[in-house]
Amino acid sequence: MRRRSDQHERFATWTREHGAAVRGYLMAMVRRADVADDLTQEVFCRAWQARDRYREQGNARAYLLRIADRLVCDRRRRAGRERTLDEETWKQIEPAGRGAEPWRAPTEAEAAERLDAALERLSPMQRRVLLLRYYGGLRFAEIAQITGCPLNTTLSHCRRGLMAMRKLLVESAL
Amino acid sequence: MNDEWDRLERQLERATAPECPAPDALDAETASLRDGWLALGELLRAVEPPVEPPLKLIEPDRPVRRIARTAAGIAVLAASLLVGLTVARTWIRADRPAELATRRDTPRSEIARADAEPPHTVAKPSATVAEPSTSDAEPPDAASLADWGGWDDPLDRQIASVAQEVVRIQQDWDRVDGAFGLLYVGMEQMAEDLEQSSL
Repeated sequence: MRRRSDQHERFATWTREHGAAVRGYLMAMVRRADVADDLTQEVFCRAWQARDRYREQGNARAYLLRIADRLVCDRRRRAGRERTLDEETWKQIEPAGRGAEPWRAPTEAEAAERLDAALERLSPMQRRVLLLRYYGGLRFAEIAQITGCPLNTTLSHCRRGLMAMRKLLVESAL
Repeated sequence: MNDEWDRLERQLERATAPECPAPDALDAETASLRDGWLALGELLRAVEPPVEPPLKLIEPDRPVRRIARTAAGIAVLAASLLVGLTVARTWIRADRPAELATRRDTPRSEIARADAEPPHTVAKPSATVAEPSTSDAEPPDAASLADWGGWDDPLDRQIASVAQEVVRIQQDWDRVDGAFGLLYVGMEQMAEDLEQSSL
């Protein structure tokens, strides 16, 4: 009974402290709020199902982001088999977002477009590395472990990704 | 070569550090990478919902918890009742046949007398029986002989009816036992579900 209570407590802490980061990572990776919400829920469901196997190593966020990353990869792999709506159709049928005041919506839409354009500049691996670093604050060795790449390759992806972002910044300033 | 990678790792860690290092502490290349990192961060922050975190733990509200506690209490009560009844049944089973066997081994007339008379008078007939048969006392009449060695039908019927009653009670108990068992398992399951639904 005590153990179960500890698990509940730990899970509540995870949700509180890492929920936003996990959701942010997923949102940046899939660029669809509904999918990001579903995947976030799935991440925590899986973490809960595996709660007995979890060994505390001091970095729960890395653990959750690893699950999130795997889910995104699985989803991408399945994407070819699914019929997806194009962006315009989706925007037409998507219900209004949370707190989308009329004066605010264009700004958000513009920001989303700018982010989409920026992420388009990155290869999938560069995106994973940079977003895992951004949302998880993970060390590069941990990122390498999650992505399954050697550390040197991970560092290269990060460097190239940052250079691409810098280039975008210069271009938008002109 | 390893030094190269170590240097790159340190450079990238500085460029992507969450806290902002002093601008003059960065060399030109690291500062350039830092600009790219800050640009990405700005874009990501612009699309993040600014309010509460998107997730919150759904705690079961108070009444549900109270129901769970009540159910657990009932389950414990039912379990205690079951244990008590089982112990009582075991005790009855262990005690009753021994008593019946004792009574069966004892001559029926003695049982009848023991049942009919208060304890202080029991010794009297024994004393009479213990007298030598060669005494001059009158022989016992036919009725008393029949009473001594014959079959006591009312007692037999009484024993038979008690045995039937015991069998019937046992059958009833088995039914109740099964029902309580199911009820207990169901309540345990419900308590488990309620506890898990706290997520």
